[in-house]
Amino acid sequence: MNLVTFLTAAISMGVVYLYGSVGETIMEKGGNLNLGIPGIMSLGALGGVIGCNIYISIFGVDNIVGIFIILFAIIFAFLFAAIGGGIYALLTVTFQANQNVTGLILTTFGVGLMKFIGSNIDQSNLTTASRSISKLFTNYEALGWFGEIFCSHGFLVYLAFIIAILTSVFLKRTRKGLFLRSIGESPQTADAQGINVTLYKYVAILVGSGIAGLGGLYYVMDRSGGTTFVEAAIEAFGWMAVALVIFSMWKPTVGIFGSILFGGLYILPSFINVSNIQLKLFEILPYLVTVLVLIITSIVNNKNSQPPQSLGINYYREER
Amino acid sequence: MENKEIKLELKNISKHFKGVYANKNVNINLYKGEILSILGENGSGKTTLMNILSGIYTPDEGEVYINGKIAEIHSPRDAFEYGIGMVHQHFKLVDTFSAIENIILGLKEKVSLKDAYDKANGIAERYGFKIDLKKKIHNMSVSEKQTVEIIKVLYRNVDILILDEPTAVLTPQEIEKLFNVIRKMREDNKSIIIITHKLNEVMSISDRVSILRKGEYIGTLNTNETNERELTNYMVGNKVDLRLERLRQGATSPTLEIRHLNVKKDDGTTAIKDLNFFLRGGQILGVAGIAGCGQKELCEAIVGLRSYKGNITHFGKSIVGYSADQIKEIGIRMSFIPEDRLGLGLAPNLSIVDNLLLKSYNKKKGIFVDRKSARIETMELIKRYNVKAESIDAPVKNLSGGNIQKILVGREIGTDPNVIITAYPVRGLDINSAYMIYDILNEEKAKNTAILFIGEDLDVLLTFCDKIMVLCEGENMGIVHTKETNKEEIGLMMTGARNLLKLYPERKIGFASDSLIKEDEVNE
Amino acid sequence: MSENKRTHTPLISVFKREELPRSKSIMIRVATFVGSFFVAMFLCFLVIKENYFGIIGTMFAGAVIRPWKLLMDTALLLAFGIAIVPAFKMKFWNMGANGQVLVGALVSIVLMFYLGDFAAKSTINNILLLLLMLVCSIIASVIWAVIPAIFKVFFKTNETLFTLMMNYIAGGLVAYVNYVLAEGKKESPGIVNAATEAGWFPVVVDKYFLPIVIILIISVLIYFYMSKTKHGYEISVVGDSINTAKYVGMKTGKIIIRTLIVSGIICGIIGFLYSSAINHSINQYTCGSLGFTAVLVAWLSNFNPLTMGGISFVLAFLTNGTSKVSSIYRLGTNDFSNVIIGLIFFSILISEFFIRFRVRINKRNRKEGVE
Repeated sequence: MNLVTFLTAAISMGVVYLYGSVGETIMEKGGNLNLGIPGIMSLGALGGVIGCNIYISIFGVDNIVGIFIILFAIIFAFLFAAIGGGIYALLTVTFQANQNVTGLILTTFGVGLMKFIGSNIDQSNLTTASRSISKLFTNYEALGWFGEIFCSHGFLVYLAFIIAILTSVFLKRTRKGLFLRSIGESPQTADAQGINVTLYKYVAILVGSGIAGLGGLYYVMDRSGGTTFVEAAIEAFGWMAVALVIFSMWKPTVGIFGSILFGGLYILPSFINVSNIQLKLFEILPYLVTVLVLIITSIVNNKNSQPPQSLGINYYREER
Repeated sequence: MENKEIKLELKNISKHFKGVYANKNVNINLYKGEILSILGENGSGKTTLMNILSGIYTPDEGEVYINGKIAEIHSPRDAFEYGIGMVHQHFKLVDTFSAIENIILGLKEKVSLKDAYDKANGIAERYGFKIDLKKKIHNMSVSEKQTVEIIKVLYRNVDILILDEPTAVLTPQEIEKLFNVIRKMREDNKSIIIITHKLNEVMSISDRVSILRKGEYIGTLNTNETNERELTNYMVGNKVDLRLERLRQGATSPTLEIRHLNVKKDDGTTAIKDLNFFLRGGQILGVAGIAGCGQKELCEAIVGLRSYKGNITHFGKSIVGYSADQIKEIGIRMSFIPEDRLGLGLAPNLSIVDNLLLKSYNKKKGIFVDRKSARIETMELIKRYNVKAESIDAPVKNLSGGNIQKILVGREIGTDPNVIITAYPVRGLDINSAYMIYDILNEEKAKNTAILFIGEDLDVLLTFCDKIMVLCEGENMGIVHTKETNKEEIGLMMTGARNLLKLYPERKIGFASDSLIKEDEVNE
Repeated sequence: MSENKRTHTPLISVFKREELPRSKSIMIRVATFVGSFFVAMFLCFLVIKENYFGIIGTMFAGAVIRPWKLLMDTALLLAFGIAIVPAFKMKFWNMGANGQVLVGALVSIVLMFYLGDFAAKSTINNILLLLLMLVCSIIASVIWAVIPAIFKVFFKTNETLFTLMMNYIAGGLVAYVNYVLAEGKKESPGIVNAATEAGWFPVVVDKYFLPIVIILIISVLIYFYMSKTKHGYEISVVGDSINTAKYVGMKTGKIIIRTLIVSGIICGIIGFLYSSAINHSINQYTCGSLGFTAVLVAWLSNFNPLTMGGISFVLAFLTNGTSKVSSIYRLGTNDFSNVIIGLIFFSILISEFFIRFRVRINKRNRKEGVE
């Protein structure tokens, strides 16, 4: 087994989870447990593909410029996912619907919509588009193993790391981050202090969903090369992303390493000699590890790894 | 007072929740540079009215005028715009944040943490607060938290300050300190509203007092032209002559003896430290202490809900290691009213019948619950304690506080206990319900039941109990006969400034002279 | 701050309302459903661009053309709901009904596969096999349901994610075992014992008749279990206030685990029915997303089994109807019906808001200034 290619692939796979978990972390810090992440990531994938198709229909398949088509894809992926998040926000924040139930419906809806529209979409040019999306640097081979592991990826991989770090800084160091966290801990307090709870929750959910949606885009257009769009197991990745939030103890920087670990587990079977039959068992591994992580974090029960106090509870000002 | 400028005017304010009026046509004026008390029983709508002022609730009808102009207050942010700040009874603080982080929450202007820190420290100094602003809230005592709340409001330069029951959790000495701060604010020409139901505080701090009863505005008086008796009559409505009585009753030998009790809080820190005391039948032992100094954990340990180290004996027989079930079996009952009345002892969404079933559903054999006989018992209890309920199948949370407590206490007493552990049994009750609870406890005392009474109002403790044990940070500061002590002494003991155990080690405080525990057992 | 600042009057204010009369709240829900149904159908129409009423007609015809399937789908959804309700009433978010049913079904299939020859020898043998399948299926499902419960009880491990992950582990196991059964040549052995029908459930009236009857019986039993027995009573107390439950001496950990055993038993029976009566085969997707949909059904019906039956029927009707529409107008598989169902559910959640709250529209341009 080649460690360099393994690490490269682990990073590349982990980014799918990373987007999802960073998005979910932002929402959870504002007190919203969104189980609609799989649906949102699916919508992101759908939006990304549509964005690529629009670019191609405007500029033609021969004029694909990596950075521009990525921009198109990102905008549309973000938009589609944010619309999904918007539905969730409308229902849970404004209409006070149960967060778990709303999230589950959003997952059903989002996955369904992606597959339904996706199967009626022209996918002929996606592999071509993917080729210019999935590599940012050229000649990285010159840097040896370093180049392979760190420089062989597409733009979206680096964007994921940047977003994770920025999110961490935002939550920990900025005023607005402090305000958002206070809402997740105690919306009553935040409200009494004059913070616009509704506005913050909406923005957190919309932005968080948009970021999570990029995970769907990344998986379809970068990681899997634009080939397995409708069959994509994005739903399962979405749940892994939710689990990664807990694993990372609501810290996006920890999430970066967690995502590489999760990604490594997912791709492990293709790096060791296993028969087809054993392969099926290996596919269980990431879920088993997640379960182990859940158990270990709950046993350790550290003060710093606790979820926000008001997670999952809707806020209504005139509650008595 | 006529020459004073009116700062704030409430006109015809009404607010109802699910069809029940919390405020009805309330009219109140507040002058510049005065301290106004708002007096009323629990449930009279004081807090609702102030929550309307601070933007938490939207009134159904009525207007607020500030400086003679109509003010539209739709959110706490709006309230700040008008210079209104409120210190809530249940502190609005984020536990995991530091004090200074809590203070800058929601500030419109961008400030660096350091500038904010300096400004807040300046305010603290000016009013004589001693506080470490970098400390996390969850490491703070109740009075420290209150200090943070006050600084938080002052930081925003408010000129109308509302304090909701600020003295409930303080010792007499801390109350005096707070009152000095409030007077200083008045000197700064701020207008202060203080919500309370304690008459002596109304008399000592406020210039005027407005009275609410069952949501309705009764009137406003100058405090130097009234007295406590008159205020009570306004507050309760009908002329009441309710006097708390200490029942004379011969005490029995120790029913419950507690030796070297150590209990931990949920977070692993010490709640109760090496505590010794005993309860006698026919006696009420009061427990005084600042909120959160181990009362809750003490109760839970005795009734088997919390693990502990040490020895608890019941008529000389050790009950260490007994489960909650077994402890119930031998006749120890608890009526516990924590912060959330319905949190322990009752299931809020279940019907009254199902709540009465809680202790008896398992008595009968078979797999089915016997609701038929429970309904009959429920009807009897409702009649006996005069519980007002629409239907015995309605969720118990729909009842008023007094009626809920009657159900809880009635159920607990109904099983003929020999020990009653009761914590804050009258918190949040109207006067009539409260006295009914006191009467029930006195009845039980007459039956030679041993009673542990955890209270917050020192006046009540001093007149109602036979002895008072004072806790400070989980340690016993001494046990005193109520006839031989006074508020000041208890206050000093609550803060740990006076420790009888250290002053008189020879008295063996907390050990019964006629203990039923054999000495060799203790030594083990 | 002598000058009064102008503040902004919000357009609407929201208040909690008194409880609406039952008839009125039911009416709101039904009206919302009907309304959102027609809107969803209109969206359909926009996609398909054919006769609006034709589509609705196809929808209805598609739903009732195979009545037994419609009833079976209803019963299955109800069964999943019944399986999770005891746990949900305790606020134990069991998202793992899919996994719990799958392992039961898997064990049944394995037994069918290996003991098929034995069972084919005589009727007695076949009955023995069926019993064995039932028992083992229940055991497997109970194990699957109890593991997260144990961790929840002892370490407060988050059960929502735990049970979710258990779904995927169960799915992986199914894929693996299928492969093994097919000796690595195919993905799965397909229909097991197609020739001998060994381990197949007897057919009365219709293939689906007996399973439906069994599910109805279970539902009635669970209804009584929840409302009349001490166990059911304990569940409601634990769900409402766990501290109170502890205070009155209930062993809450035991109750949680016991309740998940009940859930597991029901899931085991469903799994057994899948393998012996309904599919005679298994794959990762056998349960579809019934486990999740059942969560919605249980929630919307406020855990009332009778209402759950009604909502299950409506959902089964919609699923069958829309899948007919999508097959006729070539819209792919059941993804389209998921979209429609999602839209309808969103609307129903919004209507719940209007049942709980009243909304006041504020008058603008109120008088300002001194009186």
